[in-house]
Formats: sequence, C-alpha cells, structure tokens
Amino acid sequence: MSSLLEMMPDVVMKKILKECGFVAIQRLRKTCHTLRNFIDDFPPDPLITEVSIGKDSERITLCFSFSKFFPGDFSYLIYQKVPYGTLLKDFPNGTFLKWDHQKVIKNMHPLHVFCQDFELLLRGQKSIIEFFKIGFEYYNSDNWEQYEDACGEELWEKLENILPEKPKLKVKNLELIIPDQEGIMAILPFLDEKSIESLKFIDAIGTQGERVLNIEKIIELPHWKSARALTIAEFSVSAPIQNFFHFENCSIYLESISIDDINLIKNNSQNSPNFIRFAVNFNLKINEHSLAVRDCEKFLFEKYGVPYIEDGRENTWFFKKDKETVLNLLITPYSIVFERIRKERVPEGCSIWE
Amino acid sequence: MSVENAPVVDVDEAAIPVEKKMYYRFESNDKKEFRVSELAIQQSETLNRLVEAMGYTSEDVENKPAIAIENIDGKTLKLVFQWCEHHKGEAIPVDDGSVPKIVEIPEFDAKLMDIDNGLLFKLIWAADYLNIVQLLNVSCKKVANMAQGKTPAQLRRVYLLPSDEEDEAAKRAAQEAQDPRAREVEEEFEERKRQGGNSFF
Repeated sequence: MSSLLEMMPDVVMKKILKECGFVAIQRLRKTCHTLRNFIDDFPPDPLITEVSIGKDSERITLCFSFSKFFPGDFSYLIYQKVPYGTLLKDFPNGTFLKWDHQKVIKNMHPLHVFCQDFELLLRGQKSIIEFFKIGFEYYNSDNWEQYEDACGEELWEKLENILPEKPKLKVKNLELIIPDQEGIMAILPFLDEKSIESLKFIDAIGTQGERVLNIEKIIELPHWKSARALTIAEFSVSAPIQNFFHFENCSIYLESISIDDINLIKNNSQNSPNFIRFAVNFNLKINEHSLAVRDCEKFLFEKYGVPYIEDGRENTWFFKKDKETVLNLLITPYSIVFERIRKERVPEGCSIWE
Repeated sequence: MSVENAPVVDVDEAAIPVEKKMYYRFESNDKKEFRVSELAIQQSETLNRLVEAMGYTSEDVENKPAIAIENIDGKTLKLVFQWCEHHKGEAIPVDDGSVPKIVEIPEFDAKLMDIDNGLLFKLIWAADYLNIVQLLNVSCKKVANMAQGKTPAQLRRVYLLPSDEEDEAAKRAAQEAQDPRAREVEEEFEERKRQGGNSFF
C-alpha cells in the first residue's frame, strides 16, 4: 500500500521537495523507488550558490553551499583513492574537526564516484550559481609525472559530459585553476554565456608568469565577450592588448609590453564609460619584464614629468576621465595599473593630464 | 444536520467589512456543515469562483442547501476554514517561479498544523484541491521541515514509506498477473537502484 506522501498530487510533491533542500531530497531519494523515480523525473532546483571542486593525484574534493533558503546547508566531501576503491569522507556544514560520516565504496575509482555525485548535484539546477571553481591543488612543478596524473584529461572529459546541455548551467563568477587552454575549453563553452560576469584563470603549476596561456580559442567564445571582469594569474598571456579592452575590470600577466600598448590602454581606460581597473603584471624573475616597466617609466617621465610617489616606491600619474573621476596610472617594479578613482583622491598640487 | 447545530467557525466580526458580511454554508462529505465568511472564502480560488458563479443572495444562502464539498471530510474542512477565517483579507501570494520565496510558518498556522500526519496530509490535499495558495505553502513547508536532518531509514518511518525490499515484494506480487513488460521494468528498477546506491547522497 502506498504511503500518504506517495499519493500526493505531483504539484504538491514538487512544492514539498522545493522546500526540503538538496540534502533532504537526496535522502528522500534513497527511501523508496516511487520517490526516487519522481525525483529523477522532476529534479527540483537544488538552489546551489557555490561549487568548488579540487583535484590532485590522490583525491577529489567537492564543496558546495546553498541559497539563503537553506542557511547553513553546506557540505565538503573528499573522495580519496584507497587500494580497494574509494574512501568517501563528509564534513557537513563545515564540521572540519569532526568526521561525521565516512564510507568505503568498493571497486570504484574516486573520479567515478565524484562524477556520479556531481551529476546528481547539478541535476535540476536552474538558478544562477554565484561562484563556481574548479582547481588542481597541486603546485609542485618539479614533479611533472605526478602533475600529469593529477591533471589527467579524464576529469575534463567527464565534466564535459556532466555539464547539462539544455539549459546550460548559469554561473556568475567562474574560477578555473588549470594547466592550459584545453582545461578552460572543457568547461567554459558548456556554461550559459549570458550569466557570466567574471572569469578567473590561474595556472595550476603556479610559476608566476613563466608559462604562457594561449587564449586564441577562448577569445572567440561569446562568454569572453559578455564577461565584465577578467583575472589571469600566474600565466602570462600573449594576445593583442585590444582583446582585453571590453572588460571593466581586468588583471593579466604579460611577458612584455610596448609603449604603444600603454597608450592604447590609457586611451581605452579614459574613453570606456564603465572602466574600473586594468592591471598588467610582470614576472620579476625574468629581467626583461622589469626592463619593460623601466622603459614605460622612462617614456612617462619624458612625457608627463616627475610622478607623484606614493609610499616612496610607486610612481603615479593622473589623467582626465570625467567630471567626478580621474584615471590613476600607478607603476611598480612588477606592475602597471590603470585605475579609476574619485577626483578628491588626487593629492594636492598634482597635475591631471589630458 | 440542521444549520443551527452546525459547527460554526469562530469569526472575528470586527475585522469583516460590512459589505462582505455574508456567510456561505458548506457541507463536508460526512455531512458536517460550516458557515464561512465571504472574505475568508476569497483565500480559496476554487470556492471563490464557485460562489461568484452561483451569485447567491443572503436569502439564497439561508434557504438553499449548503454547498457540498464531496471529497473533504468535516475534520479537515474545519481546519481549512479556521485557517481561511484567520487569514481573511490577506494578500494571496503569487508564485511566478522566477525567484524562490522563503516560506515562514506563523504561530497560528503552526498550532493549527500540530496534528497527526494523516490529518496533515489530508489538509495539504484539501488546500491543493481548494487552491488555497498560502495554506498549501505553509503545510508543504511543515512536511518539508519534518525531513530535515533525517536518514533514509528515519524518513521511511516519518512518512510511512515502504523500503525498496517491500516495494519489490509488492511489485513481484503484482507481476504475477504476468505483465509482459514486467521484466523490463524490473531491470530498469535494478539499474536505478544501482545508480542510487554508490554515491554519497
């Protein structure tokens, strides 16, 4: 005989499940096959707001939290490789000091258990995920063999299959810690381009600008064009500087920069109405980078005279922007930063150049 | 049962505008009769449409038979009308599905729903049938709250759900009628079970 819950009209069941929250829904899914079928056929929106995935050669971590409707609902899972399968550890609601749950799933690789869970997690997600991060928690570039294992293509292939095609997953802020462009191309095209506001790409090896990220495929994506903020850290990029001008807030590493590029950035920063900040960083380990900065400084000295020196080390010039704001150009030994600031912040006696 | 002896829902007379002070009579499937204010009826889209279509005058309400609600019993209907009277005049929430809204259970509703599960489920069913949006919202929230922090085994006890084994036994019994698709269904079920059994959730 069916229970009262099973006899509820579909519209009521959907309403009840919507109020349950993701964790309770997944527990209900395991009670009986009627509920499991219903939940699979009409997956409720889990209202996930943050997802963070980490991977190294030994384990995968999955952290996710939910909207304000389910305060405190957040889980941190670890899928650890053990000789006979996968050891799954759960730290519900941030109880990192106490392992509430752990179980062994025999004869299954952590990647497969993780993919199964991740697919379940995303099923039904229609609302926007505020923050979505995938990263490799491995920074030792000396051990390439282990790195290759950690960054194996299998995860990317799996993710490509898991991310829903229709409708595409809506993500506002995306952060990827990846080895190369292919890592980005395995994720970004499968997200809804209209929801993307900020992109952050970080080199999984962490060589502070020594490695170059090719972006020729990424810049062709509509996501690149619709995003308003971009950070590329640790990687250097090599692409015409104009490719970055539509971002309101942009921070990149370059191997070198020309005076022409500096002028282009300056003009774009002055003319873009929504401009906030454009930062170009250089790797201090390589001599020519700081030389590039020095060349710029020399050019600016000659053209605009002695800068205002902030904190005794940063050379600053100011340029006209609009009625209320000015463009602040700040040069340090490792960076060139254009930033929009309020006029009142310009120190007394400083010139504001055209 | 005569109208005089009918269980009348408590009404706060002062809160009812004069022009709305008309009471309709309803009868449950176990012949219990209720008088409900016009303003309270507005909480139910189904009943509101019904009385509008009937166009009863005050005399009609007294002289004609009570409006029968044939698939809700008196015990449930009493709770429904108590809720409607308490919340009469309140705006009916619109759920356009775009932004999820937080449902909070007011104290009155919490006390009203302090009932056994069987009656609670009947109340939900009635709220859905009579299209009383906010009553459906709070009662579904109450059922959802009962699921929080429980294991699948505990949930089976709370909601009186069968286990997979019990489900299978019932299914096997049903299959004795030799459904030609039985094997296919069985295989699909096994596959779903397998998929659901190896994950964290």
